[in-house]
Amino acid sequence: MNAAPAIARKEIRHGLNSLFLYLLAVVFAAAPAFPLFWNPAPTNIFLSNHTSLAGFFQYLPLFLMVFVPALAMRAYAEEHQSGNFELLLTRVDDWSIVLGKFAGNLAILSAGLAATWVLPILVAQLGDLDWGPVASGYLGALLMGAGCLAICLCLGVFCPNQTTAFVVSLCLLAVTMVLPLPELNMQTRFQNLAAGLVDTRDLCFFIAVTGFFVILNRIAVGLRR
Amino acid sequence: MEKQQAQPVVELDQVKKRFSSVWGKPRYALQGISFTLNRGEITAFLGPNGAGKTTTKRLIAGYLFPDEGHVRLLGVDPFDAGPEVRARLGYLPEHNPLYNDLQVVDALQFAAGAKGLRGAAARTAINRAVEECALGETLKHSIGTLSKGTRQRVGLAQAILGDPEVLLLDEPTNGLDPNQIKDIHLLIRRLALRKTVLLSTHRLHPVPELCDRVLVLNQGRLVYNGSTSALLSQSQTRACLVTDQEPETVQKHLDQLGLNLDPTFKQLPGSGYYSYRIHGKWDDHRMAKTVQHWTNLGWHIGGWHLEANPMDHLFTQLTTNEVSAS
Repeated sequence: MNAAPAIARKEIRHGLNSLFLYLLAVVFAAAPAFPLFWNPAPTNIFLSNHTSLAGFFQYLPLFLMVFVPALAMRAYAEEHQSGNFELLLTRVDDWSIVLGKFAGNLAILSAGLAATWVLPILVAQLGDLDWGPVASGYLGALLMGAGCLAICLCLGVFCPNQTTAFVVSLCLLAVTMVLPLPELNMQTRFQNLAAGLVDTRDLCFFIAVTGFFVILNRIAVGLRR
Repeated sequence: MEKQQAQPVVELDQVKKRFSSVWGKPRYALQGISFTLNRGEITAFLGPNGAGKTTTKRLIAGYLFPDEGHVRLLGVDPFDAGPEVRARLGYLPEHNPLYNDLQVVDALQFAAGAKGLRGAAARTAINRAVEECALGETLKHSIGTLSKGTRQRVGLAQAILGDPEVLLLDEPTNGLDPNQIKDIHLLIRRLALRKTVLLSTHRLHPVPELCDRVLVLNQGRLVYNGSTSALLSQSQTRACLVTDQEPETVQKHLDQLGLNLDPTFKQLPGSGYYSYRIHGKWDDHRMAKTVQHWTNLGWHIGGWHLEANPMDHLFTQLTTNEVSAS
């Protein structure tokens, strides 16, 4: 696993060199403002006369559902298309590839989430913002993002190109958001955290999903040999 | 510098590899090949397209595993090898895959990191590879903007990073100009003093000068495994001769010399001359001496030359089953 940091750095470097990711980051940072300021009540803070990020967190899973597949789709598809996957597999062990790619893309996702911090800062200027739910909401967003990322990266190993990787990942994430079983529904779990209810069962759920799909990803990479 | 004592660093023993598709029949890419590569040797790995060269290299690099037989790289199975063994292998695959959006320096830093090199060790290894492959002026260039030759040198620099003991090079001079090809050959010669090099190439002319051994693969079978000099001693080149003698006369003289006349001779229109091809172990000296002999007999010689490089001829013989080799 000693090559994982090198792979993570490479993933971040790819992100920094990608105009598409910059555009995506801008959209991701700006889009959540829509339900807060322009949407009809109750998420609109002006109409509801209540300084809260509830509107932002309500729609965040939808943004993540699009942003994460768009971020992860290139991770393996590009390696396949350029022929670098062969070279990678002969240079480093499978765990380094999986953990390196996960860590690198999680760093980019975290940067995207960090860019949305302008919203709570802005809302806090308008009134008395309760920072507890904001902190737990961001913790939930990070954990759910990590879970979504692990799912998308795992699926990406089998997809020959970026479009397929994006569509397949988007479909599966959509399923996880609308599952009728609340125990397995990512959105339900996230909304608990966004409401300020930090339940260890929700935290463990996201950690378990992430861990499960990272292990599955490792098996998938091994199968690609 | 004297080469170290020969010892196998790569061993393949009765290796078979098949590829299956969902509907089609399984196809054997390798049908039980065995060979060893020794330390300090440059081995040419030759064969027509589809012969199984890339599959063999992928097996040695640990990208694929054999269906039957054993592969050993530095004493271990490369498919299960840990990072410490992988770091001792430098691999330049076919088509030289690179990350186009990275700068050369970033790509080299990544390759160094992937081989487990950190800090000062990584910097030293990168500087050395940059110097060996003359990449100093392109370090800050994006790989996507580089010429094919420079890309090839970046791929080679990545392969030799960290001073690996075994180098698998697939067409390393692909896309290079003659001067660059010469430089790369010199570099490979220098590297081979302390490494084992398996060089896959379709350029046969430099093989006798560059390689100690030759492996020829055809349809998944090893059809030649031996020293370059032994292969060249089997060389049957064709001499082209233009003379005024009738085919019967020429055939009679060639029979006396133990040489074969190619049946594809032709009469040059309106000149009374014939153009012949003569198979044999020719070199310039022997040909000149033979021509002198015929001239003394009163033959009019319109011209002569040796056709093609001996390696080209041997390659054709070995890969079209004209001659069975050891």
